[in-house]
Parts: sequence; structure tokens; C-alpha cells
Amino acid sequence: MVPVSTIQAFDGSIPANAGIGLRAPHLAEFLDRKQAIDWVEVHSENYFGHGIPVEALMKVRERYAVSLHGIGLSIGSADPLNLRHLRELKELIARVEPGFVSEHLCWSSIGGRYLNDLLPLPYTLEALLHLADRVTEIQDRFGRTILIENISSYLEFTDSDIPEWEFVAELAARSGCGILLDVNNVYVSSRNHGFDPYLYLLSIPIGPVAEMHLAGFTRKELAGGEILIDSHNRPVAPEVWSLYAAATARFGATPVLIEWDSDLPELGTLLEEAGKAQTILETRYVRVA
Amino acid sequence: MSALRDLQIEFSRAVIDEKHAQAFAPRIRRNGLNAERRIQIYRNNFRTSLIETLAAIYPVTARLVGESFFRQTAGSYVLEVRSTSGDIRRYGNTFPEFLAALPGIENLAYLPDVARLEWAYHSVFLSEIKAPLDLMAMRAVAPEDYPNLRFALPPAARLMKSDFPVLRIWQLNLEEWQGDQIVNLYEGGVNLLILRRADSVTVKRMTPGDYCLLERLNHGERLADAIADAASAEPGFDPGGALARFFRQGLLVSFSSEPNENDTGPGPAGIFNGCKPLKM
Repeated sequence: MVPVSTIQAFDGSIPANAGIGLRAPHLAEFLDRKQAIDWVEVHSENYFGHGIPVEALMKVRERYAVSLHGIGLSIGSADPLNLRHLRELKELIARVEPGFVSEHLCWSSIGGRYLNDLLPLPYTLEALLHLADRVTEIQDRFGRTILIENISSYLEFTDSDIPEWEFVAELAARSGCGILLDVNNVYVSSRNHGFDPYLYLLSIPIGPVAEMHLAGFTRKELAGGEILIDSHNRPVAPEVWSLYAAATARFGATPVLIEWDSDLPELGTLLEEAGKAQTILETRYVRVA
Repeated sequence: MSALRDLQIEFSRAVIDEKHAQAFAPRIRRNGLNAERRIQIYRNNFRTSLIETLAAIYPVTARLVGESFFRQTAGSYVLEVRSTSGDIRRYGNTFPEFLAALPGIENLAYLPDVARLEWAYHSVFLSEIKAPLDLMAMRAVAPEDYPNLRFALPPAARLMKSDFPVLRIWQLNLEEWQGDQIVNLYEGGVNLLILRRADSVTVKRMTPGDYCLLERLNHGERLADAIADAASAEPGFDPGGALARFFRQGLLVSFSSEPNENDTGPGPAGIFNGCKPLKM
């Protein structure tokens, strides 16, 4: 039970500082004692239903603000929206009262078959209109704004005739959604496709950016060149820290999250990474009065 | 068909099956790396995430067959059985049957049952706890109507029966197991109840009579019929004692005196049905 006083004192909004992605192996440490962090983000689908996971999350929620980050809604699919998925997400939102609800600029299913991966979209007018409709419908159903995150991608479709940064900016303008700017994904895709990541940042409107993500990538050497993989299994790379510093200068003090999903280290390592982000957030952010 | 749908259908085909990759390659912008290698990254992600989901749900099964055989088998399963949910935790419910049909594991006849136990555990872990039946409500029922009552089990309960000592096999292969390491495969089968508690899941053996009674009730049988079956499954069975235990353990969550109108089979708890006497 959440004490009444806690509910009144703590509205659950996400503060403009560094949080971490909370994964199951670290859950016990969050339940044992308050960690030196104000908010966490979890993958929404892992807490669907009324099983043991969501009950543990509700205990975390008593002491931390929570952001729900979806990986399975398949917003960009040409299939109809999955109503069961939407209903389960809506129930979770009602229960958790998250500070943010976010989804990815991607698709993960077609013809009812799920690949359970974040697949890239063709950046076309058709896809843009489709996405804007879908985001609008989801926001109407949830009665709240959602954030849309740019993904890492390993290929570009010849169908695409809009740069990704314009697509993201237009989607926010048309649907009113917020932007979850994944700085690592900007960097990874910039290297994979050969664009300027700083130009990407400059093309994203300041107002809608509500949250940023940071994570580690893996470099893979293949015949014909190298490719960066958004592996979430290591510390944030120096190039991404630099890009993040530029992002804080442009977008101001914004909640920022350290994501780490596989080869999960001790919680302390994640908190250290969050500390680095916090330092950059505080020192590099220069408010122009 | 919209251009978006067409692209998604063709691309997903190329990701799932490499024989479609070459045909899709012209739709990928030429930029250094070979297009098919780029698609292969997505193919690896797709396969790996589903294989790892199976490995997380079926850790003991994986341990019994070894990591490499498990990954290979899970890989074949991923090609054959599509995922139909964005909630990846739902994937893999038919993996035990897939294992049962697999050639070459005849010496691991108990393996599908171990996998069934793991799926039951996983399902119960994700199921809701329901308040136990309020015994006061039973007072409204006239004693002569008791034989016609039908009871429902909680959503976070599963019943399973095996001809093998799967509980011992499973426990022995849990990472945290500290006890002895030997199990006699011929020690006989088990009737199991997999039940969620507040923040854990318990797996318990049941007597043939208790199991049969609970299984028949879960199947929607009248109390009198369920008791008759249980009595034939276990000589000297005490139905009053069994029901008292079930109430105490919260194993019955509701009752009705009418057949369930949408009775299309067993309740959620049923994995194996029928309460034939165990082979000993």
C-alpha cells in the first residue's frame, strides 16, 4: 500500500536529471533500499497483466517516478493497431501512473506475425501520415501525450525520401507527440548511414524533446566496412558523450536515461554512468538568459 | 496494397528466411556494406531475441539438453512457430509439444514434461492472485444442493501430471539447488500443483485423490461426480478433508450451481486432464 501522504507529496513526474533503465536482476536492490536516483524506466510489456512483476514494480513506484517504455506496440506497422496490446498498456498506465509513456519510431509486426524487434520504417509521406494518425489515436485512447523515440538502424530503404530528422520533427508537429531523443541511436545511425549527427540534433525542434536516452553500442567489422550495433551491453562511448553534451546545450535540462539490457553489470556501474550524465547535464547546459 | 504494407511484408520475409534476402536487396540503399549482410543483422536479432526468450522460460530444459542443443532446437522452433504478440513473454507455449515430437531425444522421455512444468511455472508467475472463496457465501446453499455445485480454480494455479519424477528432476537442476544430485527415473510419476503466492510460485506434489478431485472440478464437473472420480483414483479418499484443504489453501475461488454456460472445456489450470491412476 502506498501511504496517502506519499501520494500527495509525490506526483510521479520525471525530474530533469539522470535515471536508469530498471531490469529484473536489479529489482531486489531497488526494493531493499532507496537508491541515489529519482526515477527509473522499464519496458512496459514486462509488466503487463497482474502477475508478480507488476506487483514488484508497484513497490518501486512508491519511492521512484517511473517511465513506461514500450517495445512491442508496433506503431509503424501497416496492420491495424493491436487492441489487446493497447488495452493492456492502458491498464498498466492507469496502475503505474507513469511520468512518461514512450514508444519507438518503428514497426515489429506485419500480417499478425511479430518479429519482436525494432524494425526501421521507410521515411515516406505515406508512412508519416500513417504514423501521425496512429500516434493521434493512441494519445486519444490514453488521454495523454506519448513520446516517440528514434531507433538505431542498419539499413535504409530506397523508398525513403524524407531524412529521418525531418520525419521525426514532422511527426511531432502533426501528432503533438513528444520526442524521446536517443542520442546513442542518432550516433549509431549517423555512422551506419553517413550523416552528420550534429546536424540531426539541430533539425530536431527544441520544444517536443522531453527525454533523452544514452547507451553503449558495439562495433562490428564486416566485409565491405564496419557497422555499429545498438547493443545496450556496455558503457556509453566517448563520441556519444560528446554528442550528448551538444544535445544538452541545445535542448536544455532534460530527463536522461542510461539503458543497459544485456551483459548487465552491477547496479553500481549503471549508477556511475548516470552520474556522468548528471555531471554533463549540470555543467554543459548553459542557459541563455 | 499500400507501399508501406508491401515493403513490410517483403522485408519481414527477407528477415525471417534468407532465401528471400537477395530478392529484397535492391530495395536497400547501396552504401558500403552489402545489403544482404545488413538484412542478416535483423535476422540475427529476430532469432536471438526469441531463442533467448525460450532460454529464459525453459532454463532447466536447456540445462538438461545442453546449451548448444537447446539453442539449435529453439532456433528450429522459432522458424516453425510464429510469435503473435508484442509481449514476448507469451511466446513459446507449444515448445513442450515441439520437444515431444523431436527425433533423437528418446532417452530423455521426461523432457517434454519438464518443459511443461516450466511453462506452467512461467504462466503462474504472470497470473493474477484471486481472493479465495468466501465460505459465508456457501451458507446460502442448501446442503442437498452441494452435490450439484461446480467450483472454479484461481487463474494463478496449474495442475499437471507426469509419469516421471519431474518435480525432483526440475528441483535438482535449479541453479539454487543445494541437495543431493541423484534422481531415480523409475521412482514413479507425480501429480503437481503449481500455485502462485504473493511474490513466489510454489510447486507441490498432490495425492492421487486430491489431484483428481481438483482436476475434475477444474474441468467443470459437479462436486458429486468429481468426488466419485477421486474416490476411484485413491482408495479411502476423504473428500471432506480434501475440500477443507482446498478452501484453506485458496484453491477454490468461486462456485455456481449451474453448468458454466460457456463451458468449452477445462478451466485455465488444466494442463493434463484425466485422473487415471498413476503408472507405478
